[in-house]
Amino acid sequence: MEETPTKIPSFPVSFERKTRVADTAHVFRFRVAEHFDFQPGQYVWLILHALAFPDPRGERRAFSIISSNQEKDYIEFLVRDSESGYKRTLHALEAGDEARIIGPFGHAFVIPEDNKEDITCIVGGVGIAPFIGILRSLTKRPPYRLRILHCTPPESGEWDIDVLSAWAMVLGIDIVCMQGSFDGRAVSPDTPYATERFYVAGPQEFVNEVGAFLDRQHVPRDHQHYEENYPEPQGNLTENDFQECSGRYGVMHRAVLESKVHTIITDANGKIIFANPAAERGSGYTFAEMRGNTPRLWGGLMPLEAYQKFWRERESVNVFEGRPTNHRKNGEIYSMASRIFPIRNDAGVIIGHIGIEEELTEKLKLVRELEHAKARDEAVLANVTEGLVVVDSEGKFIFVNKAAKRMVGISGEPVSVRDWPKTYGMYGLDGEELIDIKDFAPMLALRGTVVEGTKIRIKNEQYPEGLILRILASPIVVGSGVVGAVMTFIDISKEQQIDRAKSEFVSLASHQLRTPLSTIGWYTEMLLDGDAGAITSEQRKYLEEVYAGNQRMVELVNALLNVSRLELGTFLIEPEPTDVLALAQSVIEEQKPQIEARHIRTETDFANDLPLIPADQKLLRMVFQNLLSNAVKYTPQNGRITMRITKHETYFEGCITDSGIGIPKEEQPRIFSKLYRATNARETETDGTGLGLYIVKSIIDQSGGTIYFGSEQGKGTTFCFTLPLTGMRKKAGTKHLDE
Amino acid sequence: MDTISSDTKTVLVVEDEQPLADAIRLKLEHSGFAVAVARTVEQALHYLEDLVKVDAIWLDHYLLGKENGLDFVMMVKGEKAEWRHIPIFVVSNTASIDKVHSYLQLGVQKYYVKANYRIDEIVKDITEALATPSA
Repeated sequence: MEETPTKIPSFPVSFERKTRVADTAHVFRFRVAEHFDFQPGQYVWLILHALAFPDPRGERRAFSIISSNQEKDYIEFLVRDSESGYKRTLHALEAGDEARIIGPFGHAFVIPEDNKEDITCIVGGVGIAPFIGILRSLTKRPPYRLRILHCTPPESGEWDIDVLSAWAMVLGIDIVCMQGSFDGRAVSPDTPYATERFYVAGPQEFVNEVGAFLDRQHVPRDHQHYEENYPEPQGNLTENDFQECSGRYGVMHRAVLESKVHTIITDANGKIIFANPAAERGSGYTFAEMRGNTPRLWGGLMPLEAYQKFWRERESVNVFEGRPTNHRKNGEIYSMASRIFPIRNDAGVIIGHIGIEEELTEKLKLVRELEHAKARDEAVLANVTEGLVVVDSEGKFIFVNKAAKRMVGISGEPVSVRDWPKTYGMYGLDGEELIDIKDFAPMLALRGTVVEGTKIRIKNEQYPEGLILRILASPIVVGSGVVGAVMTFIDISKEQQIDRAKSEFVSLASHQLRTPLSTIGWYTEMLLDGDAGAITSEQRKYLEEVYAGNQRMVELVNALLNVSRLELGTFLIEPEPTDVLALAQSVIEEQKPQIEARHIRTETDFANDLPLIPADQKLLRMVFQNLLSNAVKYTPQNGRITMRITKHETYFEGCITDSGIGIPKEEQPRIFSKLYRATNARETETDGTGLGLYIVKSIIDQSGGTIYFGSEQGKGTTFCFTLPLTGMRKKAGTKHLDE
Repeated sequence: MDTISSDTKTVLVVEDEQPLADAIRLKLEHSGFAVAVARTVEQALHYLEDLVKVDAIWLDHYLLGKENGLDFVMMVKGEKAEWRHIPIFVVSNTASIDKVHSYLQLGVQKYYVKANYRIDEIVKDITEALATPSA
């Protein structure tokens, strides 16, 4: 994206010399550092660094360029003497003093390249300036007749004819000089006025006179060219008029003064007679600086047609709207939305204009930045490999990327979110109908819930056997309201296949591992039972070791298979209403043989108000079994084990306390790790997979509970777990643990 | 096979692992049963047809050949009226909940995960089941 210029360039110049050409006019020459390009007939603003003498109109004035546009080193202006602070400063410049010019501006006196009509310039005083520039820029005789009628009122003093003639002689241009006011007779009577173009420049009164004359000669208005000084209209708004009007409506005046919108009032010729503080701030000029100038102070950047359109249309329209680009006093470029209203007097004649302008620069910049960002984001999103769909609060599509179109089969057709399953062939993982549309991920998102992953199977033309997709859905919240939702579709078919393969492997492994273990176990049992004949007590001892080893292997295989399922995340949690106390009690009963073998005293302290808890009985049983069997295994003879189940506001807690060997402090952090057994545990009891606590913790974590413990070596250990009263979280999966 | 006396019960063992089938046969015979061992569903069906009477079936799930234990149970429960009443004890190392449910729904007596049970426990259950007169 190209950067639009933000500042108009200013060019440094340095004063070289001044030459008197008339009693009241000088030519000022400035050196230019770099070649300054312009069209003959244009003007620049000459900006002095500082005013040696104060001037309310400030340190800049507009001057037509009188040097040739082929001159590379210098630029010249024709300056009428005056007592203004600006002019006095100008005259006080010394060779080498620096200044700046900005421009070039102005199209009024630029002669089009293809012009064929004769041109007569009727100019007064320094009004001749632009035409001098035109003359001196000519490289050959033009195909049309060009003549200049220069009128110098007596009070302006003598003009140096030689200088003027020198300027004209090269190409045989007529220059007629007249003293005194304009006299139409100087304009040749046999001139067919209708086909001749007239360029008029000079003081306002002069311009008025010439304009009236041309009108009388029926020169069409579009053959009369003026710069800012138009023939004075019959009515004109003046500053006084304006003050008077607004004095009567003080409230309105105040409203305009306080407004943030730039408000300018000009007379019929565009000369500024009022500017509000907003306009001053926006343009960088004070009203004092604007007075006597037209809005060309900050304009001149638009093409000629724009200005011509205004002057053409202003008669016929009630409001002229435009989007001009202007420049502030400091050179900064800014955009406006402008509306110009003509002020008409009772006779309907335009006597002035009101210009209301609103700065758009910031807005436009933001819009451009947003569009740029939007285009970039869309390009990114369009090509992401996951399917991306954005819907509004009613579920209508705002954005669908390529991948979503391919995966889900979304076309341009609007389809309400609740109809997606039917339209796009979305089913549950096993091909079942998605019954409850309320729980469909996108519907949940539109109601404000973030859904982290629903798996669906999609069957459509592209994927007749079905594609497994994971849907992530998020609401789009602005302020406090849901304005839409974003859905991501991820193709997990491969992932599913791999998971299934892993699960199958685990199942197969379980079968393959257990079969030889069964063989060893059963034959050993039969030997021990004497089925193959009586055995000696020594043989019995050996066989019992074999049997014990085999049993450990069986336990280990079971535990490893559970761990695999836990890690794959493929195990199921199927909660059903469970009497937790009864379950705990039955676990204790199960382990009674081992408890009594060690003469351990057991106590229970069960809450009497615990409701039925939705829990997966298998898994909850495993939790109790593991914790209790640990307590039994690591408590020496004659010890004590207490099981306490308490009800709390939102959860219940199960604690098993033993008076056993405890867990050494330095080993406590690792107690839940896979295959970890504390050193004192290993010394006490060689049996033990080191997987029990890992499994218990995984089950509790996945069920939405917490697990923790406290222990002191040699004193005992308490393990506690909590589960919400709302029960274990249901979890979809492919297998149960312990399969 | 030993001589069959009128009150010797016969157990049809359907198991394709040779060592396990042997162990099971030994244990059952030691407990006073007559035993026939089949390694495929087809073989098992032949035994059912040929033997005078089969009092109980010890069935593994995975077998040689295309068909598995479930297929066998479906056939037994469907084919002949006299076969339907034979109690079936499924003893397998596969413990898939789906499979267990399917077996139980089809009406097998009990399902055991091999590695978790002593052989004499299973034999005891069979003995008890046959001691009570079937309805």
